[in-house]
Amino acid sequence: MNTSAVNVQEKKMDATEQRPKVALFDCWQTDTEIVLSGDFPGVNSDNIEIEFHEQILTIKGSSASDNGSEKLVRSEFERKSLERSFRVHEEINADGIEASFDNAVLTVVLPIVQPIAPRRIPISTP
Amino acid sequence: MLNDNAFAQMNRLRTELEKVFGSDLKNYGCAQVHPKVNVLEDAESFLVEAELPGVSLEDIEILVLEGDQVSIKGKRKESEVQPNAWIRKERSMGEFARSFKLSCGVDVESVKARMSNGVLEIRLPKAAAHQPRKIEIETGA
Repeated sequence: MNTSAVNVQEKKMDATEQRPKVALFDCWQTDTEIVLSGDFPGVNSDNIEIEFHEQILTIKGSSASDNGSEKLVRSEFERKSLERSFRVHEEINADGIEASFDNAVLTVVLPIVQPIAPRRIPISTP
Repeated sequence: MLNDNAFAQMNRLRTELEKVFGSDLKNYGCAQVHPKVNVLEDAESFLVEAELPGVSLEDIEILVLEGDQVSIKGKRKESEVQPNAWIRKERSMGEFARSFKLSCGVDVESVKARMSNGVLEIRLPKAAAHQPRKIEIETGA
């Protein structure tokens, strides 16, 4: 029993030390797509990972924290990894997901699967 | 009715929650200063970093006042989205301004700014009077 208690404690410490920041997002939806636009300040486009699995979109951006030998005299933000995940309620065409990254703003476009429109079948007369 | 004790209890609860969820909790539900700024200092200069993703350098105005005050002003352009299409809106848009005082004067002519992955970096070399000076030691004749 003691061992399991130690394990829990270790897990907890890891979680607080390496917990990434929450990336802030704006999201909007049209008839054909859902667009998510998020801020990843300090993150390079090469260090962004996007995954869509079982209706959950996960975005991770890793950032190197390196302040060198300089002394921090005012600190309002930390240079660390940013992460966010969203559960998507619409049916998405996963192969059509597109993402772009410009000036630390990531934009992901999720195309909504369109219902097949009812089609009137003409009857040919002999 | 709320009394001092109720506020003390709320503060304690918040401290406990922050221990569990980390300091990110502070960013929810309350007004934020924007942009967030870090100031770093070494012997020769200051480095001011401001989180400004999506803002280009042309839309930012940096002023150094009275030799030791830095002011950052600018505007982040709103995205043109139909009002009824929004699902979620978390990012700060529109005008922003921050200003603060440094601990000593800077060489205004040598201030340089650049944008690096959505973080504005302003390098402000300290004024000559505040630079470390190497003292030559005279050798005895």
